[in-house]
Amino acid sequence: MRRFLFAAVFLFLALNAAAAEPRIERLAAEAAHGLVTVRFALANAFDAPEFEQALQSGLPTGFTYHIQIVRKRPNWFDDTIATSTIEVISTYNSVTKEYLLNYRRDRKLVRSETYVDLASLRQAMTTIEEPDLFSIGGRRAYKMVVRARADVARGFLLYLIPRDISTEWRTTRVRTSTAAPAR
Amino acid sequence: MADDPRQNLDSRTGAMKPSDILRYRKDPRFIVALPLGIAAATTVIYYLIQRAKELSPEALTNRLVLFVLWNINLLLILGILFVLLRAVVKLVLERARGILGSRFRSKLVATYLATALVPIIILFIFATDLLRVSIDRWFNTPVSRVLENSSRIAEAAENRAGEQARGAAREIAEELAKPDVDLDRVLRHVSGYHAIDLVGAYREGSLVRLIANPRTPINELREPPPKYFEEVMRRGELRKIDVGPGGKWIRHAIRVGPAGRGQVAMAGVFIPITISRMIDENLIAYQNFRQLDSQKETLKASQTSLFLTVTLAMLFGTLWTAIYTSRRITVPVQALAEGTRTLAEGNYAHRIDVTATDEFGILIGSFNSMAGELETQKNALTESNAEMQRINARLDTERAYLSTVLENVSSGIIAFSDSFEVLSINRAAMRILQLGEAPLRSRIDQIVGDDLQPLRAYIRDLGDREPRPRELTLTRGGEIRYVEVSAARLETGAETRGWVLAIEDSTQLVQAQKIAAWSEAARRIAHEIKNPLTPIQLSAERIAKKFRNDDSDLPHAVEEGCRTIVEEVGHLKTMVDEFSRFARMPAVHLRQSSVAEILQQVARLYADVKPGVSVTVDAPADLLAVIDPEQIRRALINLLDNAIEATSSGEIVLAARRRDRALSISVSDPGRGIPEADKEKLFHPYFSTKKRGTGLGLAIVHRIVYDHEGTITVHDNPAGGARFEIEIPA
Repeated sequence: MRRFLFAAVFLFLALNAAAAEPRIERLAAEAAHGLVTVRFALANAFDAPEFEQALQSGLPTGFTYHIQIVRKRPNWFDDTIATSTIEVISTYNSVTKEYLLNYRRDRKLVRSETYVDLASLRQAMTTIEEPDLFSIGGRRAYKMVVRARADVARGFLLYLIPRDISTEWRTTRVRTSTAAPAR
Repeated sequence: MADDPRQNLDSRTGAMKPSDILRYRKDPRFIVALPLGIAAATTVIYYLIQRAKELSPEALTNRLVLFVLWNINLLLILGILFVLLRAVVKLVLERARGILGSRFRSKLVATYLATALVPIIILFIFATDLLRVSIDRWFNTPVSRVLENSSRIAEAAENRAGEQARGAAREIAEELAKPDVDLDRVLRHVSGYHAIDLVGAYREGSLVRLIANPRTPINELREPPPKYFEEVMRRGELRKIDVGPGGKWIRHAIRVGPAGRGQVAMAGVFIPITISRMIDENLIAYQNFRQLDSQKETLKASQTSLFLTVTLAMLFGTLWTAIYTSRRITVPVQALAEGTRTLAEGNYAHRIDVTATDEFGILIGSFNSMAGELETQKNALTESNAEMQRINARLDTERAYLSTVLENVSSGIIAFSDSFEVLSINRAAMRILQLGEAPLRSRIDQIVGDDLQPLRAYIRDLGDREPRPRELTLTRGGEIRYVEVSAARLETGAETRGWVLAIEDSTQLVQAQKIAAWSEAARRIAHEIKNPLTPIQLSAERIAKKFRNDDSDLPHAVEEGCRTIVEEVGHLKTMVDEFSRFARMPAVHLRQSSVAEILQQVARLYADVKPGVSVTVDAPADLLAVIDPEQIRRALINLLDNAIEATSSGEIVLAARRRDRALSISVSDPGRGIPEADKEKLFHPYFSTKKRGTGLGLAIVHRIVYDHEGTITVHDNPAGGARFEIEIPA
């Protein structure tokens, strides 16, 4: 009986560990001429069946990405240079069988696209590339760090208190690029 | 100067004074504002609840609504916690400070909260659970299956049209993939063969050829965007649905040949609005249902939040009401307890200044009345006490004065009770009675002893009749003392009754009087003896002379001389007898006697003694008195003797009457009367107005009356003459 109990607990823990959680991947930041381009991807975001169910039901569904660029200070609090919030919200139209994706940066609509293919939509929602997102001016890029986090879902604490379910902060150093600025 | 609000604060607790709080609550503005405020709050809550019912699921699951609801709940929770903590801290502080009524208030608040809080929380938990279960049930009912099936039917209808378009597009694409093909013929063939509403071909995103059913609203249809064709080129085929006012177009595009050629074949089916609307409604209904399903938890949270808001509002109201009501109850109780304690500390001027209209008002009124009564009684008691102290001080002074007087008076004063217990005795009494120390609480008969028999007899007879002063001769230790004793009733209330005995030591006075009396007696005796001696001497010298001269008249002279000598010697003898009788006055022997009989006996002695003078008796036959009859008879004889001598003619009246507690005997004569100057010394020994009187008659009368503890007085008789009146206590 005790062995069975241990086995059950082990199985439960193993399954939990195997369940992939959403996370920020491939975070990269490049600085060129005082401007920082940020790109990253959100993995495992569509794994939750609730997410896809919500998406297919026509609810506006999406992610909110929080991106910060900070200057690391040893033995002290980091100096936040700038922050940015990107929202990708998709709404499914069951009549036309299309997905409308709204892409907002810092509350401003950047683009609005229609997708008929869920895979394309996934790609568009989870792959972020923001050229020249931050301006660091004359600051030295190698001292800068970009970090990103995504709010992937909304939950309730004690069935009552609304809270966002987010990924862990992902951090990367800003690399300096020698490429010419985009014109 | 404006009122300082801090003046209304309790110096100990820092809170408003109970009286001020209740006075504030009696303010008409407060009385009007409170129900209006409650009514307004109730209206707002009711309005919000009604509006909440009307909120759509989208609105209820709105993030902002949830945020607002949660913040309202948070504010309410914080408000409840603040009010609760504040009340708890206040109660704890009040209990720590020992403020009266705090324990009662704690219990009251706890009871209120327990009775209100527990049901509300249970109701909230039960209702929330019911709500969550009900929401779960909404999505488990057959409705979801019906909606899903209808949605699938609608989708199947659409798919069928789409598949029809896809088949046509595939045929077009296959034909166009062949070399040298007539595009127009192919399109017409496919359009006719498949009875399809729209067929067309595109190259590089541009329309090459399009054939449409003229009965369809082709003008509502817009060209697909370039991105669409890019997607078709990438994926090989792609369906597109367009909705217009006339109906719905389902187009399907298929890449022609390899991707590099850029040719796309397209076919479309038009679904009229009457059918497409039903399809879309089914799809939308199911979509809405799925939206709700996916937002089930949010919906539950929002409903629970809304319910929690109402519950917390109720809790807040209940809590506030509990504190308010408990304060309203405990403030008068606290004031009463405080007042009772103040009263117990002796501050009777304290009044409860709390306005209450219910039973507490009656209680406070009764308390204030009681305090007023107590204050009045206390003031009266204080005044009485002060008066008592003044009286005691005065009594002490008087007692000291009296004690000093008593201790320093020459008369002996003894106070004793009816049981003959000595209450006080002064120094003079102790000296007179030769006592060593104050015999307080001893019996007076033990003090007096057998050797002071007269005083003992006087004391013993005190209760029998009205006490009168007495002269007593006391012998103690071989020493003779002449004292004058008088007694007075001691009336000091019901408990202590007795006598005050005054003993006047008149030994020296009596001795002086005796010396004076003896001197007077010697002088009078010498005078009285001298008077007869002169005729005797003259008679003897005359006889001797006659005898020497051998006078012929000698016999006559002898005879006359002898007669004179005999008369004078007889007179001397009478005088000696009188003196002897006066000196040998016997003690009185009192006994019950008939006064009328004594008077009759005396009157009979003097009947017809003197012509023209009659003696009559006027006395009740049954008049009895405790007297010595012999002595009284003797006294009356002396008085009647004098009256007959003084009366030439007329009636002498012997009268006797009982007057109050005394026997009154009078002797009235119509004689010549007594001059005023003689009345004072009439009873002195040896005073006489008669030529041959001894002056002892009235002195004897006076002595007899005195021995009877009576008095004798002389008055002018209204009919002329004199009237002697004797009064003897009986």
